[in-house]
Amino acid sequence: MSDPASKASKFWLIALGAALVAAIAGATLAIWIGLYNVAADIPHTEPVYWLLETARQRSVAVRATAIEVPGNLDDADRITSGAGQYADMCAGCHLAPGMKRTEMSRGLYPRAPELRRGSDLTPAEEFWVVKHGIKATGMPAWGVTHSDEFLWNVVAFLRKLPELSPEAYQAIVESAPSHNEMMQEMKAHDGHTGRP
Amino acid sequence: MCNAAAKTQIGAFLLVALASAPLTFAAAHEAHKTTCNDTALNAMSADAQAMPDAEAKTKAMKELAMAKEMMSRKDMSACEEHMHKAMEVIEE
Repeated sequence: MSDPASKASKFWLIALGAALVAAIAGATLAIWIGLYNVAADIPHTEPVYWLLETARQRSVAVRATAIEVPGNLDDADRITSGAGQYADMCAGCHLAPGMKRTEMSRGLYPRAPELRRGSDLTPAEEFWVVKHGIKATGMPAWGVTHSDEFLWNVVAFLRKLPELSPEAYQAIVESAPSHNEMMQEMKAHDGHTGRP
Repeated sequence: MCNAAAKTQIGAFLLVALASAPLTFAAAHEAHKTTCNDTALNAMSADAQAMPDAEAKTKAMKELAMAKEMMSRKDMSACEEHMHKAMEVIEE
């Protein structure tokens, strides 16, 4: 004869199992009927936004700990090179000093951070984001087509960017090698367009 | 006679300056003109959402909440006023 305690625990196990099945069925139905609106012109609710942002921040932070940051991010040549790359590859979404918002920057969701205002990311985290991109955003994985050295130049420039006036930004971009020149140089060093 | 001519010129200049001042201010505010509708409010909400957590973000979100409230009450001018304030905070 089974005792009451054993009956109670069996009951709760069954109840838990049923709740789990109901939750999975409910989630499946919600996804199937397209309950959640994925339109980029309708922001996430605050709780969903918080969840996704936190997941992103933690994912980047954890993975960036293994990255060794070069000691010369304040090197003028790195910064100048990075400025040219930023103007060609980044400014369309992330904007630049003196630059009005573009159609791209106004339509992207989540919004591409305006990097002229600075960033909370460490250099290692910035490098990780530039290299690997961010899923389900407009941020590409530039590491697929560009070498690490190329990307560290961009990071070096990102550290400088918030200090720049529109005039200073224009001056540094004009003095930078063009993106094409840098890609040719990168190919000559690596023997291919970039590393996977 | 020279004094009178100079005074007339200065007076004319001041008159033109005063007359054009409202237009100047209007032109400046034209750049920030917003239309109270769901698309514009959603776009500004996304902009405010992306701001770093700080007093400015709180202020922008508050103004947008007020704008949405005014829109629901069909008070479009009040809605646009709150959107304008939110935009100034977002873009500062």
